[in-house]
Amino acid sequence: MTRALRFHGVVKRYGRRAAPVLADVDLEVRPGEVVRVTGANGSGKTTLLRLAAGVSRPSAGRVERGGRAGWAPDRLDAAPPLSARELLRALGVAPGEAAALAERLGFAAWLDGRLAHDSSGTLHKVLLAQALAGDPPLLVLDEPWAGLDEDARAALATVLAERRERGAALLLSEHGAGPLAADRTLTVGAGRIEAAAP
Amino acid sequence: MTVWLVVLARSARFLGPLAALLLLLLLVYLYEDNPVRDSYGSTALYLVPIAAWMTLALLDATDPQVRELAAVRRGRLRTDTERVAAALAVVAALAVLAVAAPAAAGAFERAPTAGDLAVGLLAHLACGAIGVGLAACAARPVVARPAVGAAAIAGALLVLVVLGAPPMSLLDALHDDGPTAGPLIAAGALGAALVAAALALMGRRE
Repeated sequence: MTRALRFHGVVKRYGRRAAPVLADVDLEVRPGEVVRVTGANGSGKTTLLRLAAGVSRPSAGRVERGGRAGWAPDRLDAAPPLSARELLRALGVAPGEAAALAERLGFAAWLDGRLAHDSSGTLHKVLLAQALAGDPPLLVLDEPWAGLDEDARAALATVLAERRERGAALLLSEHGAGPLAADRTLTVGAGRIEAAAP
Repeated sequence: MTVWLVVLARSARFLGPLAALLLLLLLVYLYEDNPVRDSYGSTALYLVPIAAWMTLALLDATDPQVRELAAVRRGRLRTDTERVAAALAVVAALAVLAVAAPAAAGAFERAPTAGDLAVGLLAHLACGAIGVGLAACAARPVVARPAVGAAAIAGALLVLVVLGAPPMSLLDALHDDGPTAGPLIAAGALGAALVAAALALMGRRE
């Protein structure tokens, strides 16, 4: 497949009679492409990303992926009573890869502490690590830079740039421009992709 | 599967159903000279709501977003199967406790035979599976609101009792010291069907 991700007339509504959060969205992302998704709060960015990652299913239309997606939400509502190492193992991340990603993303010192006691930034790094694990061909990251300090942002940007070089497609929702240059910016509003800028 | 058990243990949500089972065992075996199969029939029936409670505790102990992450990385069916298998494992441990504890404590009118213990354990396992299946059908992500799920479980239990379906038919067989193979198979089949239905329903939900 020459596309990492494709949306065909995708509609998403929460509830049969509810107005669609996304309506008739067509989208294509190529391998190695970095696509930035922006839009106001409630515009449908996260819904678009959840559909892209396969977390959520479209109400109508079709989503095609070239392979498994690595998905990182912007936060967890409640941290599980586990350590970062236990959570990563539970999610199928090999111990060696978990340690390597923890080193690169800067949470190696917090691998064995309870997530509930860790900072929101550390939890965010763990979510990013599980998305990156296994080298998926599509990375779907919801506000990946949120809550990260400068060093962590730089470390993540380096890892993402490497993944891009290896052919992974990146779909990132961002409120402001992140440290990774995007090939395209999609602006979501009123349930549609309002603008696509290079 | 282990991680879901760890989450349940650390959340301490298992304490409520475990305490309820211990209290019921104490009440049932408070008086001595208990008939073996009759008593096992009663505690097997009580295990249905306790198993449902334990299953709800396990399935609700993890944030739905963690299930989503696991489903994206490892597949929905595998994730949900592991969570339900973890609930079955906990309930199986409760079943062993409910069968072994009174036998070990000498709470029966006579020493139970190997056949009594086998029938008692199978009855508890089958009833436990019914509780797990009912709860898994009524827990998140199938039913979003926990109160609605709990009401649905209570309603389903009432229907089973009124209809005389398993586990009631199993209770009757054990109370009357009648043949137990048919009622045991029916209860086990109902438990398995409910667990299968729960997995199918979970797979359809986000």
